[in-house]
Amino acid sequence: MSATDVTDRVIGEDGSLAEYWVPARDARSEEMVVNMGPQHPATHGVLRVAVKTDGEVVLDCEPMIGNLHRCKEKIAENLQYWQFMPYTDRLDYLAAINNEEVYARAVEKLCGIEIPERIQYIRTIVAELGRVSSHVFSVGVYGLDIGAFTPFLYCYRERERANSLFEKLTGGRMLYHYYRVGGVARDLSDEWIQECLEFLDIVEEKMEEYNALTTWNKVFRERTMGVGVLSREKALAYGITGPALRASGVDWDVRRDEPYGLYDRFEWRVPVADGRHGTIGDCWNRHWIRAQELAESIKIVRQAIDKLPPRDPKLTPSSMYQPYVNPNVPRILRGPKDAEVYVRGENPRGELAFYLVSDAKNAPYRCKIRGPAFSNIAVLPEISRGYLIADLVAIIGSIDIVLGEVDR
Amino acid sequence: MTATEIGGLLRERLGDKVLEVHDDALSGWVKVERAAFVDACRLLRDDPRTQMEVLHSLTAVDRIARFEVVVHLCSIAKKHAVALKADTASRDDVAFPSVTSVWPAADWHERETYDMFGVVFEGHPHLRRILLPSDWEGWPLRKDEGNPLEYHGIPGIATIRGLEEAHRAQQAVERAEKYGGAAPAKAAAKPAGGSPPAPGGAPAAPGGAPKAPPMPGGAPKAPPLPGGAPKAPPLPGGAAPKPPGAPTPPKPPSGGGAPPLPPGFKSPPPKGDAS
Amino acid sequence: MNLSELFGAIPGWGYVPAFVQMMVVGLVPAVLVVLAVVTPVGLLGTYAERRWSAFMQDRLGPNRVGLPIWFDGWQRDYTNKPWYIKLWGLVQPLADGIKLLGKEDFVPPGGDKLLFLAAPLIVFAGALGMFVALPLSYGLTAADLNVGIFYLLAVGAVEVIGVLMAGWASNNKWSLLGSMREVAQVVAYEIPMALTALCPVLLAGSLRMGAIIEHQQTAYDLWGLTIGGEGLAQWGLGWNLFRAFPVNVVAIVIFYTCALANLKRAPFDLPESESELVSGFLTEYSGMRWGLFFLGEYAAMFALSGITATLFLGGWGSGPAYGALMLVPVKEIPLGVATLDWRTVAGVVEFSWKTCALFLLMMNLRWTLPRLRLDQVMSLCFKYFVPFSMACLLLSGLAALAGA
Repeated sequence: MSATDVTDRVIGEDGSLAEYWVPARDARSEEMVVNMGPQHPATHGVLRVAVKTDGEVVLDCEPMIGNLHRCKEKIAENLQYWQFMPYTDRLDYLAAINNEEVYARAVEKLCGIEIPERIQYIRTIVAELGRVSSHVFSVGVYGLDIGAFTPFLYCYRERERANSLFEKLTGGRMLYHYYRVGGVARDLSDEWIQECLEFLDIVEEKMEEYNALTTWNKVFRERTMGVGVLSREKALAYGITGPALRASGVDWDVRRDEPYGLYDRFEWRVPVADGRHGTIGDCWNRHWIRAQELAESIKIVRQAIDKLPPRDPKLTPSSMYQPYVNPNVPRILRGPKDAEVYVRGENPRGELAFYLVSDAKNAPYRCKIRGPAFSNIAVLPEISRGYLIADLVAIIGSIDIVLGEVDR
Repeated sequence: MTATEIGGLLRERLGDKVLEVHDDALSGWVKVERAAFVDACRLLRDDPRTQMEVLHSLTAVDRIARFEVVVHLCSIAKKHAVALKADTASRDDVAFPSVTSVWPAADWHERETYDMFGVVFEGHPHLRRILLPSDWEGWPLRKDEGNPLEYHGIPGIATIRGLEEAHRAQQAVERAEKYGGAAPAKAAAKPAGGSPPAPGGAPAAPGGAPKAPPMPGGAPKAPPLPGGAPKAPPLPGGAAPKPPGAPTPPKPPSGGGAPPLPPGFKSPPPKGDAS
Repeated sequence: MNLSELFGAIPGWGYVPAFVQMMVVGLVPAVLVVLAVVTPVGLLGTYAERRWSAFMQDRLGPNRVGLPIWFDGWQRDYTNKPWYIKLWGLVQPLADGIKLLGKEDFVPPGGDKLLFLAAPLIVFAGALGMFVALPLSYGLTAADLNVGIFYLLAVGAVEVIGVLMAGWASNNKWSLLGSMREVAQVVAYEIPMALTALCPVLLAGSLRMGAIIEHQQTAYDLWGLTIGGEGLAQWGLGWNLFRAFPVNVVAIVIFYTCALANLKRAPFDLPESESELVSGFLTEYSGMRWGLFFLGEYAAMFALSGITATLFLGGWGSGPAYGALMLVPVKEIPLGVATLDWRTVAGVVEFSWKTCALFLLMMNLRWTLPRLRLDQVMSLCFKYFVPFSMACLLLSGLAALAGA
């Protein structure tokens, strides 16, 4: 085959596919449709991707979702506001606490409930701890996608520690139901705070190890740099959020740019891909942004623990079965008539948003859940055409989807 | 920029096609006419004062008389956000312009809205179901949507409840035969749900009117509709759904007969015997 | 009393045709040696891999299965009984084997049954065949062929056929993709592997494995400059690694990496990559046929480690352990009918430690590195290894001329 045979060079608008060649039409072999999933280790759950391949080259692919659809929005319409809280855990089940936070904020905004300062600090601590726990897992499991098994187990060891911390606080290792409308389930004990600080020390120390095994590993960089390049324009047009958006060079984080909670009181920075390593928007940058956010979250938790206000005796519940909430929360929550809120929050995988429409009942009239992974995975066909099957696995892994959130 | 300012901006360009501007502490949104929806979207995206680069979410709300399509937009450069709304013509005429040409992100969101509400987005490249299986019938998030009776032989919750009810009635009858007394009167006289034990020895087939059994947990009751028949017929291949004004009888479960009873369930006796 | 005399004692042996006599006399020790080595190697290899990876990953690994020396009724937990020897879980591979034997011998519908059933046998036979010419120690080579290294490389490549058969017969697209990857990868890596294997051959002037080992026992010379005598060479200075000095250092790296690629071990485990191809050609296999692939893999791992040790690290014939053991003033150990040469004992020790070290290095690499992509594997082979191995071959030729 001479060089002139390869006329069908596929180049993205951003030059992303420069190294890859789709064989010219006369050199093409038979096209084959391969089903990746729903039972496939690389699809992180029950995603099914129908891949049209020519040998190993992905000509086109289509994600097919819905295998985990559980009618969450319909359920929300049939439950009282507070009753839906544990259901939000099951959206992004790897960072359940962050889902609860966004939902709690949405309901509180709709019903006009104030949050005492100490509870806000507690919420910041657990939410960022949830981000640490989720990102530790994502960093490790991306190594597994690329073929390195050991960093996954190392990272899982740290996630187990985080799970134990959450278990001590909430009673659940994975799905917590810790947030209440107007507060949280229980106060942080001093002993727990001490253990949390120890855990942060461990993660901070071990992160270098994980980065040596994945981020800075030569083979890992070869596999992920320049693969699955998502340009800034495409990322915005497809509504990508979270680390994937920042890896495309967009400096945007809801925690900083539409501040909620207490994030404007702490010193931290938003890591954004700058093109020093790899191509902006490639798989490696998505992974690296996650690894950096981990360090930032640890910083936030440390500062929040430092500034944690003393216990307010007025808030202290009368018994251990009472939640630790603002005492002014009404017994039955009712939204105002014909009102709606759209509340966004920065989750580990992107922006989770709840759109609640109320009609003066004790249940929402409509509850739309905008999961970040749902929007993020929609871009998969755009950024995987022309790559190899192995790259497709790397791209799916770098987008870091959780099917509970995609299918809701 | 607040929603009021954005609404004013749209009024400059679109005139009285902007129907309503809402801005308060909870939410800010602009409602436009359906015909001007895509133009308004494009304006918001391209105008340097708004720069809505990101379509954050697209969904619909069932307003009984019609569907309200809501698009949540946000601008990363300007750091502001707004919701843009428009109504479908009516509950029956569910055509709506697609905004996939403005933001590719709308693709999956529109498919999901179609999947859940049956709103048909005109101009969408491949409008089909996304979360539900392609042969699913009905639009789950509509307020009048009942529980399906069965799907590929899997009984729906209404069917299961009917079977349970029949089972309970049967037990009551047996109890009455064994111990005597008037116990069965209550059970047999008050069959619950939409599934009375059918006469003639047939097992409880929840045929007839597929009434949605109330979900637990204080749900808002589905309001009465002008159309009458609750269940919308299926949409083959993305065609416009048939208006619910023309009722079609719901598909009888499994081959026209009653669903097979699970083991352990006995056919209830005829109604007359029990009472 | 040698084998010919042993067989001669069989009544009627004289009437057997001479070539059959030769074949039987030649085959019996070969089969005995091979079976005595391959089976423990395969079983211990799986155990070692699981245990070593567990240590690397902060886990325990299989540490429970041991030997009950007395049966005291069925128990829920045997491990705390005094009559149960835990033995660090060493019996785990046997338990696994029993489990695998009990599994259904499944053939996927629509698959090619004959090819599917035959594929693991061919893979295992390829690995088994390598042990025939592998010099384990002095006098412990099943057959010291005069085309030794040529035979080893050829037999090692038989495995490709088995894997291709497995992938094709599985009636599964993922399996097919896996086996195509295997063929592309292994056939490509045969080239630099053979070229670098020729470097020691050029220096020794023979393809016979025994000759290569004997050559490394001779006095070390650096491009014609003789350093030290045979004594020093016996301690390890005579290794091919140090001969033609910088050349063979490069050659052993290339040879060992190619061995990894031929064994489809990580980072070259593309044919069976779990996270991409769902275990590739192994997807449809279960039971003992699946186990045979693994037995073959570990046997081949051991064999290729041994070949690397023989070609570049002196084999059984030179090295620290051999040098030290040769200081012991024992020449022979009488063992009833035969005598055991002391060199055999020293050779076994020397060969074992080197082979096990290389074996361990393979496992370390597997559990550390991520997986390469197919095009990277190919470019590594054709863009770097082939030119470098050709240069190595040329330079070793010059070194052989200078030394001669």
